[in-house]
Amino acid sequence: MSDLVNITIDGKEVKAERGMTILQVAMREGIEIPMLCYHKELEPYGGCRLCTVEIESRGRKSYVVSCLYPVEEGLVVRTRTPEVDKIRRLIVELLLARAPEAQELLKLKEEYGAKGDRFDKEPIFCVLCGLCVRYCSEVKKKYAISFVESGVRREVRFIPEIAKKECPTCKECFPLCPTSYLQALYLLTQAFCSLSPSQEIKG
Amino acid sequence: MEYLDAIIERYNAKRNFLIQMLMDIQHEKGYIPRESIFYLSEKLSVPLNEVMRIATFYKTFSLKPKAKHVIRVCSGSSCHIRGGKEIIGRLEKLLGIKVGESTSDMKFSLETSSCSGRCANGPELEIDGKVYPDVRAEDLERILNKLGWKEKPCKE
Amino acid sequence: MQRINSYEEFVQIKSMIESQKDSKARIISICGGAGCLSKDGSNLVSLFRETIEKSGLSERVEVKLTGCHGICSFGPSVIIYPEEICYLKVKGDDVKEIVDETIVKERIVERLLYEDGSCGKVAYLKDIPFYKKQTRYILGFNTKIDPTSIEDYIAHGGYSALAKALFKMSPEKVLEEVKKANLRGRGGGGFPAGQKWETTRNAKSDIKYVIVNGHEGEPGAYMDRAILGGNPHIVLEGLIIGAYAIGASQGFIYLRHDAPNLKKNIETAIDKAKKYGFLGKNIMGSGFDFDVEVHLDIGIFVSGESSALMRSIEGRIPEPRPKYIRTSISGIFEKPSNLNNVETWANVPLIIERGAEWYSKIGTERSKGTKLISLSGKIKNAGVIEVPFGVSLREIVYEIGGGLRDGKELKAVHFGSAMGGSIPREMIDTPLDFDECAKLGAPIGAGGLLVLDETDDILGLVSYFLDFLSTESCGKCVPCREGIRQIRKLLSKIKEGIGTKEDVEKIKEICEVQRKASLCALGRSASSPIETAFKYFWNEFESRLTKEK
Repeated sequence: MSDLVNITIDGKEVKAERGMTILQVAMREGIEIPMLCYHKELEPYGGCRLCTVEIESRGRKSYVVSCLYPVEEGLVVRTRTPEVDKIRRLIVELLLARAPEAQELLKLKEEYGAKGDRFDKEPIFCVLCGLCVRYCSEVKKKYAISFVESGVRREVRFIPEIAKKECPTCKECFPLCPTSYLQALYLLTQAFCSLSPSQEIKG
Repeated sequence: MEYLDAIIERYNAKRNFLIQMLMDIQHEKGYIPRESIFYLSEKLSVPLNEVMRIATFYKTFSLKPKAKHVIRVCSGSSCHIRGGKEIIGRLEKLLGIKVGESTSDMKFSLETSSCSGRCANGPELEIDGKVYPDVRAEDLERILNKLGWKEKPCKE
Repeated sequence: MQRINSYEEFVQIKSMIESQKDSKARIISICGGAGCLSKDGSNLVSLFRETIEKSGLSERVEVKLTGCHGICSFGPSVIIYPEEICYLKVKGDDVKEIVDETIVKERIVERLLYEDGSCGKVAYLKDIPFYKKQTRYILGFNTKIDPTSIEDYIAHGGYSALAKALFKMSPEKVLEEVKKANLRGRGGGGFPAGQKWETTRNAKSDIKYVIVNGHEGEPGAYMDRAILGGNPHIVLEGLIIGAYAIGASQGFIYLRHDAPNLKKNIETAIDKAKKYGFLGKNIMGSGFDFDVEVHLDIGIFVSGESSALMRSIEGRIPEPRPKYIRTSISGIFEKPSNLNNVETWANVPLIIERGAEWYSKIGTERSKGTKLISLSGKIKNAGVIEVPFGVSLREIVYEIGGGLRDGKELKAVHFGSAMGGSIPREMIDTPLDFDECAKLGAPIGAGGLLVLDETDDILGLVSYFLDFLSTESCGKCVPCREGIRQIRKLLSKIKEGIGTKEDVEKIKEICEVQRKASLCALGRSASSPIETAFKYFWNEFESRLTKEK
């Protein structure tokens, strides 16, 4: 028994299956929503918040991430409004301060009129989308890459002991990285490993 | 690894007590040795990157060994405005290290701790389990001296 | 200890316990709150016991280590019953004199009394301004009972509400009463507890959970520890009643990891409650089963957030889940889970015992009952207090709190720590009320009230809060993590005198996006302190801005 609900997305009335996310419906309808941390083979993450859309449900307006929000009967979705654009623009500007040359971000910069030098740059090049970590955990199940630390200190790191064994023949996560930081990190880790395998590697 | 087996046993090897196990390791060893992260991952069948993430996520855990005396200054909001900020500054100056570091002779580590809930006694220090309520900048040298601050290292 | 198997047995045993307690008995009640203990309070207990024994008074005098009395700035606190004589800042050297003078000769030791300019020396608790102005329905137990003694609690009326609920009321009736009382969450959300209970009750599942959030991570909030440490049974009783109303058979108590005494006392309480039949299978012979497990947290602030907390109980990283699926419907192990704060649970026995009608006469129209407040900062009388909603902040700060230390002037009071806001002195007559304070941008949060004086720099305070959040945040989502990173930099610029009006606009924009697009409440409320700072203390920023671009 299919459980269908009626929703309105960008003025268009459509039917969707209960359990679908707004993003899935949008994709089906050919509506483009920007995203950085989404990948069809991985569990939706809700980290970049770029896919934020405006919804109206039971008379109240709010902002949710479309990759995670489940559709419900009578839901009204607007994928582009001045507020939504403002949110996306600021997210792009905040990320450009960390990865000034990332292709994905530069594309979005154009689209949303973001300014590249709005915020003080601290270019580490990693945007913490987590695609690498999650791919290695969920798809390859090798767990060679980890998130470490919390808050503003959060980082992505290879676990050298596993990376040594698994990565040379795999590297499937490389093309996922929106900034090519991952490749650089891998080379660095490799360098550490080859220096002295018995050396206690920090973190 | 016996100490690790004992800790795992203590919680019947139930993986949802992983954080408790890490706390016990931290308590016993003073920090979390890297091998213990690998060991727990294996014995509890928890993905390594998850254990790694948990072990680095919390300020309570340290992956580096700590010094003989760990000085924890309460960094709660009340202690902060009652002079806690100045206490930290003074300790950094006296010991020549920044918060999160240890002196080169490994005698003292300096840390901040989250609000202890004893706000009426702020600013407050805790060293080796002993609490120093209503601490003032003038008291610091005396407290450090009692812990062997200016003593010459023993001749072995 | 005898297992109770019916309502009648409960009444009998309660009667028996009450008859064994003499209300005229001489008791030396020593405050066992964390603050007093760290000032040598634990030493006092053994000193008193030794001295009483040596004086041959052990038969007539009981020395009791109780919970937090609340008068923290004047600790260690010792209260002599039955007169309720309050001795303050008691030291080991004072013990002999107290025993000789007060216990033996029934004379008061003047120098240990409370004293202030307006009332002189005051001996009795009921006359001390700090206590006089409070309404201590919950805290009142703390000076009288030993938290490790279940009999003390029963003698003072404990577990009567549970007996009434189980034997005289249906689960639906209990739920209705809590709804009628309009009990609102005391942990920070202010959400109607009855409504939450109902959602969990109505969720389709044979397994449901109830949780006590004893994490208390908000800096400056220490009232939950005063309740849990001083009277764990009141929380247990509330929890069991709630479980009955909701249909849960398993509960979790989530505690801070850095309070081993607290854990021990709670485990003792659970153990004794089990022995009496208040917990476990077939509670008091009612047919209701309920058990409780204690879990420790790891000290990070964000694990006080309910979905993060539930992940922590599951043994996973306490990362908040986006609340698109309410935890009352899918929480721990995806079962409906009802989480409430310690103080919220502690209100439940009172509501059931006295009824919702009585309860809703206390407080304001939309904030019912009392609230525990932990006073801190530049206030004379820092400590834990309990007042009805509706009392003005002025009364709290000046009449109970004793005003400001060191002769300074009040600048503002701050609620909710890093996720809250400041109320300036001009608005000090604002009543303590969930909605009134929220309207000003300073929701009361857990009830930790930080008092600021004229020397406190608002910009410095806001920076401090952001520093705190910068590592307490889990760091998963961009608006929170990167937003906090950039706001800190912009504030540094302003502090150094090189900030511009444009920088202020950037901060405001980040705040707006954080509020709308963050994953959890931490990110959404990270901007609160700076928003009230801009609103009420704009001059402190404006004066530091540079005119150049």
